[in-house]
Amino acid sequence: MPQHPHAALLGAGAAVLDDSALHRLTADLSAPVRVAVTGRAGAGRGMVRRALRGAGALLADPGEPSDVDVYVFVETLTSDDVALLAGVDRPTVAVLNKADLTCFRGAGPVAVAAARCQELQRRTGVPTRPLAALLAVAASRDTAGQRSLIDALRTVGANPARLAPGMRHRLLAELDLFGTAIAAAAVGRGADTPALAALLHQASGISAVLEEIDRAAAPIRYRRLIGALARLADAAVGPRGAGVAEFLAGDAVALARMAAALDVVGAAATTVDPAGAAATTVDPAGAAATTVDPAGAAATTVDPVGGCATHLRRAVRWRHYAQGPVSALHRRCGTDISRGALRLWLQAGGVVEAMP
Amino acid sequence: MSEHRGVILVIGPALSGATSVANALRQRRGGCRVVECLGPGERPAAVVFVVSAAAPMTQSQIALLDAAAASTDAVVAAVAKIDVHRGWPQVLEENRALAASPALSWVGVAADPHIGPSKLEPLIAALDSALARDRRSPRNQLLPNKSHAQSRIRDRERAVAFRELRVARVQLTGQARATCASMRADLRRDAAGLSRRGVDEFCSGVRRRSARAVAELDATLSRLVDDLDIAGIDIPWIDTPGIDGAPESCPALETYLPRFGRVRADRVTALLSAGFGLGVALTFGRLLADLAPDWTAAITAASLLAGIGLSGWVIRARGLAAERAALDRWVTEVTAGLRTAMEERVVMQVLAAETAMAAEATAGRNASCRIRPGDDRP
Repeated sequence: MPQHPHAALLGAGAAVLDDSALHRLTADLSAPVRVAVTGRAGAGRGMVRRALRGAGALLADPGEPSDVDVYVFVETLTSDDVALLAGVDRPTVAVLNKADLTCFRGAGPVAVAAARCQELQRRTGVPTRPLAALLAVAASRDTAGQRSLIDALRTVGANPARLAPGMRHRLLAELDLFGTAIAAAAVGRGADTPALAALLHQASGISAVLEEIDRAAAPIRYRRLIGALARLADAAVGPRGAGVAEFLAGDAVALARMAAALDVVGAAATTVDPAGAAATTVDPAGAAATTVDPAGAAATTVDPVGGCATHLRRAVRWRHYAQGPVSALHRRCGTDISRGALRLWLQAGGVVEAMP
Repeated sequence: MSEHRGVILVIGPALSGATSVANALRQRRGGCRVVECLGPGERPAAVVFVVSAAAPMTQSQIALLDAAAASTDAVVAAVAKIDVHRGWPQVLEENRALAASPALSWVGVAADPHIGPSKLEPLIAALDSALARDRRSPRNQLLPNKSHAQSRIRDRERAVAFRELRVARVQLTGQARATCASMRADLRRDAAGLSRRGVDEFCSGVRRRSARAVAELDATLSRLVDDLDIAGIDIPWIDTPGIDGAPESCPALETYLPRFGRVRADRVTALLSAGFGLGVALTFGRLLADLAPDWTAAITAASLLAGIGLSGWVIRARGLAAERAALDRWVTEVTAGLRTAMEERVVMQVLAAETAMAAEATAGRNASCRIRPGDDRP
């Protein structure tokens, strides 16, 4: 299971302190978010579920509460979809499924679907991505299945008339028109099984959907981190509490909170303005400043670009952000970012002076 | 009337392929005018409802189809883009099941195909047969007019119902006020002449009377709602949970404690009454003892007994007066609370009726406005 940077930060602390509570906490934080797939009937929810599972996402069982919802629709959002999306209370990612069948002219189906998604996202404020779930499922198929596919695709490229009817049906069922076309072209160029899987994976747009889910889960990870730290504060009293208390007050925790908070505000800014929000609202140095060095214990490489003054400016700016008209979550995030920036400022050699 | 013969309206939700179908129809059927949006006062000879084969219809699309089918009988529903969506036969069957009218003819079309040749013949055949059927039956020409007349009649009925509702609200509020005023006068008179034993019965009587008043109001209200229901408006009945029919929002009814702890007042009364009795006993005892000195012992005993009896009577009378005063206050409170509750009930019910009527009016207007393409766009 890949560790999230926040978890890795705390994990480094756990390694130093050798505290079982900290280890547990690290495991809690790296737990993946549970995804539930909802959406329009007939839009391919089952296929999207299979695609997400194949791509490594953890799907919530029916009846189980989910962290992030994936709303599946086709072609465009109807007024029913818009009404549903306006009323969601969980982080939601809208997915335009069957993106491979959008349009066979001009820039191709996936590009057309991506442009349409951007327009829909601008209108609804819900992150929206195109997906060809069929291709994603085909990409995650095992090697044996791929090999027989490749043989059939070679026949399609060489002499389509010789293709057996059963194989034709299978190709259409597993890849559909667009998938068959690009796969046959790739096989004709000499692509092998992994290359074909990579091509289908790339064409399906599943990685963008996963990224979007990850971004939508930023508030959940932040809340998890805050909750875990609050629980850890209980362990800071007691015979072995001094180390934990020191760890909680240390730079590692402050920077982990800052990184999580930057994710939250970054995700919100990207959803509102997909084009250039990262550059305007969330400072690009923010993420780099809190990168974790997996080798060193609780080490945070301080961003060499952001100098002393930059950190202080950033701290002041986020302090103002937290005092502005924002939600409670963003207020906390702003405070955390400001605190983290102040720690970075101190590390970079900032000196606290008394006000004259 | 004859210029309406040739107008074919092609509508469908956004990105359903309605424009392609309209263009293809325009090329194939030169004699007809194919439009995607009707001009003012125009009526279509036939409606082609286009929906994409990507997925079965949603509720808003079904509503659009219903609105399209309301203006004419010659409606053909088409599942478009069947060149790329291989699962279109299933989608078509599901759409057929979803549509309100089972007689509606469904066809698959590929008007502007990205793959393979265009497929428009089934649509044209279905359209021709729908138009022929339309020409055969005279009902269709009258149907739009009829529906217009119906909607006008409905509008007038609605206006009358609104007025009636307002009048009913004023009347019912006045009735509630009058009932409460007469009840208060009656009860206060009763309370003024109450004996100690009758207090419990009086209290339950008050509860009974308020429950009866509320029940009468409910009966009137439900009659009103029934009348409006007959006019074709479905009005929800606001059911306020009450205690044996008494309104819950009348707290005074339950809070009265006639024998509340008047310990200090009782003690003061007892002290004063005892003083009064003692004074009477002493005065009478001395007077009688002066008149008949031989009977001093008996007179003393008798006057003491009389004094004790007198003070007991004063205590009882004083208690009864206090009880009556408390009951009088309570009756005033109860009737005021009851009045508020009844007025609230009237206002709530009338408000619910008005909301239902407004919702119905809006839905009716929406349904008549729906028959314009692009309504589905978010």
